[in-house]
Amino acid sequence: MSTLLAVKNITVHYGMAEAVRGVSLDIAEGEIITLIGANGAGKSTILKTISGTKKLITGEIWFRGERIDKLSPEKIVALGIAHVPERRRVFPYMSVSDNLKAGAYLRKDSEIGPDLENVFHHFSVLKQRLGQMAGTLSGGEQQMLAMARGLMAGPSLMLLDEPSLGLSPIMVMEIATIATEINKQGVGIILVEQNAVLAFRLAQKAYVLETGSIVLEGDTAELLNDQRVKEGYLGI
Amino acid sequence: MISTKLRSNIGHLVIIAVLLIVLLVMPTLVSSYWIHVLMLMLLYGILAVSLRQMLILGQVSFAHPAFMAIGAYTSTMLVMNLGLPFWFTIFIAGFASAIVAFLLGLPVLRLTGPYFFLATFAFLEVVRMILTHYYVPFGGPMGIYHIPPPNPIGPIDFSSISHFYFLILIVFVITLLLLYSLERSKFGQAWHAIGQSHVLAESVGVNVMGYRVLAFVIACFFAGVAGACYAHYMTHMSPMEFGLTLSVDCIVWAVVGGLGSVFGPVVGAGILTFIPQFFKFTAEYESGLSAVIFMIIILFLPGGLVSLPQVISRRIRKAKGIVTSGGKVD
Amino acid sequence: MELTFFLQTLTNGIQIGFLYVLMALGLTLIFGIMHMINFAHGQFYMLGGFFLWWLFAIHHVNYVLAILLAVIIVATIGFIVERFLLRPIRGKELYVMCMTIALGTFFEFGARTVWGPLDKAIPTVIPGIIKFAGVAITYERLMAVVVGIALVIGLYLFIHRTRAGLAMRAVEQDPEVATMYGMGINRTHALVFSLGALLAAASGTLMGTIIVVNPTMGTAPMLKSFMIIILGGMGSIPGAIAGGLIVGLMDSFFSSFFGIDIAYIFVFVVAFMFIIFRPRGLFGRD
Repeated sequence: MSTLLAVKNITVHYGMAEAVRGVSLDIAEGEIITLIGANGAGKSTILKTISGTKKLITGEIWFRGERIDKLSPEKIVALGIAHVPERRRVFPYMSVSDNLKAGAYLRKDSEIGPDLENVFHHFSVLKQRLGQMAGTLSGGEQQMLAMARGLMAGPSLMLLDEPSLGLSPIMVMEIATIATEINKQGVGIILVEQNAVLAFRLAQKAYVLETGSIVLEGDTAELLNDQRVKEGYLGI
Repeated sequence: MISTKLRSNIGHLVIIAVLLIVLLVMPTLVSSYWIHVLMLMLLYGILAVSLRQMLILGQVSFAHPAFMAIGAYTSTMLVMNLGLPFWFTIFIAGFASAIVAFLLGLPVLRLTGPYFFLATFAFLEVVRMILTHYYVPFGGPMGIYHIPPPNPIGPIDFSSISHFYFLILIVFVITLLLLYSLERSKFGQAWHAIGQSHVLAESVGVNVMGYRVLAFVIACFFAGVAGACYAHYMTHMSPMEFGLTLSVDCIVWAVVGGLGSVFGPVVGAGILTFIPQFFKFTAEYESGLSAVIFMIIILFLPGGLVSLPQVISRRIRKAKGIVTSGGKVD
Repeated sequence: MELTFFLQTLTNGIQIGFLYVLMALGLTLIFGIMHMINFAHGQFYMLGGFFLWWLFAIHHVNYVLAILLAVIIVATIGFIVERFLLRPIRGKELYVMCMTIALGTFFEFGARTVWGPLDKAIPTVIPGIIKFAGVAITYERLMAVVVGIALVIGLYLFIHRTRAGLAMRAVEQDPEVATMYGMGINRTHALVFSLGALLAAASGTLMGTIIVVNPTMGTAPMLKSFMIIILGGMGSIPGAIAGGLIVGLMDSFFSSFFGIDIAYIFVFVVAFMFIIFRPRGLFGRD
């Protein structure tokens, strides 16, 4: 399978401090990979750097053979990378349908029809709440809206940041199922999660992050048997 | 080998000493007109440097002239109606402003940014309107005339302008000394920290509100004192003089001079008061010119005029390839 | 109080109110999305009036066309200002404030130098008065209200039904996420500032027609607009509309009964109370 995204040895700062150091990872077309690690390990920073909201200090990021780390976020989303941020961050005072339109902002009206259908297929509850103010939705519904908004950008790669945060186990299951379906349609997913059990269930490959650097990587099937992973992250 | 820090401190002291001598000697060298200009420069310097206390906190107060007015009117009315001596009322003026500042500050200093500025602006207008509307204690829009000079001390009877000059010079020097030492103290550190990020400061346990109130009270105290000096020197004042124009002027003086040091606003007030006097022929174009200069400074020299030597020396060193810009990452 | 007098005061208040609304809308948009107070706002208002005078009274351009051109010219000035003077210092609150203060001074100086300090009258286009229920209103003032309402509706449609309006709302609510989806801050800020200038200029053209035009005409309405957006809620559009109308009515009624001075103090005292006790105003969020 060809490489969808390759992150090469990036270092990113937060003010004076190093948030991420020397991180490399890659994801193939149609794959799901996951970044796990404790709070503050730098996972969200990596996603922000990929989507262009944060600039790296050293390193490179390549997307389908094109270098993207120097591009503006607008160009990066146009290339096909959608970022579903931590804590969902839907636009609270806009309706559900406006939030979806926002996701499709850069696309021509004529193209988005099928994607809208697709979104309603995955997230049927949103169809009933089109006119509702996004800030009044439940946590789970907001997570779905945030992902739907991301889908409306027509991405080939989705950056999913801690989707399980604050959600009930049932909701988490539902989101997980939808994420798998989206992936089956050909969208690669980089999943950042603190919930390692969920992450390992969804992803084929995993990277473990501690204080800004990768300490472990590999296929999830193998890592499940790794002692450090079992004790540190799976609570076994 | 003397360390660079010690050298720069000595350098500062030398400059200050020289300036002080010059200022002391001035009255004998120049005409009364220029002494008057110098006094305005010093008075406005006091206003600007006291306002700076708030500006470094990130709170832009438009109410400074209102506190100057409170001081001015307090001292004037106490002297004219109760016969109290100026040397007493100048302090009462300062404290009156400080007390009002404290009362105003409690509800208003919680606010930040535009909310704070708008609240202080509303206060400014209300004060000005009250002074304008009520003829009975305040003299109404005409203001108060025949304000007596300070009571004589020995040979100094304020019959000559240089007596006033020395009075204001002394007030100016004391103000500057006090604010300078506050700046260097842990109060100054706290204020700067709050100015950088009050959220961060709060999270490490700094009593942000307490420091804000302190800064505000101090700043307005000096504004009040300046107001008292102004009133008894000018012998006439009206509410118009304590309005939006002066508010904006104080901010301009402080920013153009530079907020980085206590001397910045002094330089700003001095130069911006002096130049229009010097170049009388540009009077018509004055507001346009100063606006453009202000814009240029904001864009290209945000540290103000006092940062000029620093900026120039850094440019020179950069050109010579000595300084690397920013910090290198390994 | 006589009914006729009441209705007349009410009508005047509404008419003035709408012109305040236009200015306040511009100011509140700029504050809500760009997080800055535009101290040059009053001068955009003034320049709108002056360009209308210059085009219509001096160069005899068709009145409607002159209004459109005047407004477009000022919007363009706003665009240039944002791009070259505000963007470089974006985020530095104090300097942005100082920059717009300097601009305000500069524009007033410019108008005074180019056109002179005296009042200029804009000839009446639709002379005459209409009377109903004992209340008199000139056609000009009526037109101003109609245009004002039309602009408010137009603005609403723009913000809620167009792509650019969507971007504006997104940037206001979450600039980082808005950027993530292509709704760039640069373009939005340029649009918002130009739009704000446009609204202020529109108010200036309408007001200029009714009264007169002079270089200092912008300061007082702008200061009132500050108080209006506090009342209505800084950043809130319904707030600007409600606030503008309320202040217009307060102006009209208080001036009739208590005199202009007291009316002025009252607005500021009310605004001050709001800042202390209800900073988000009538309709603001957060």
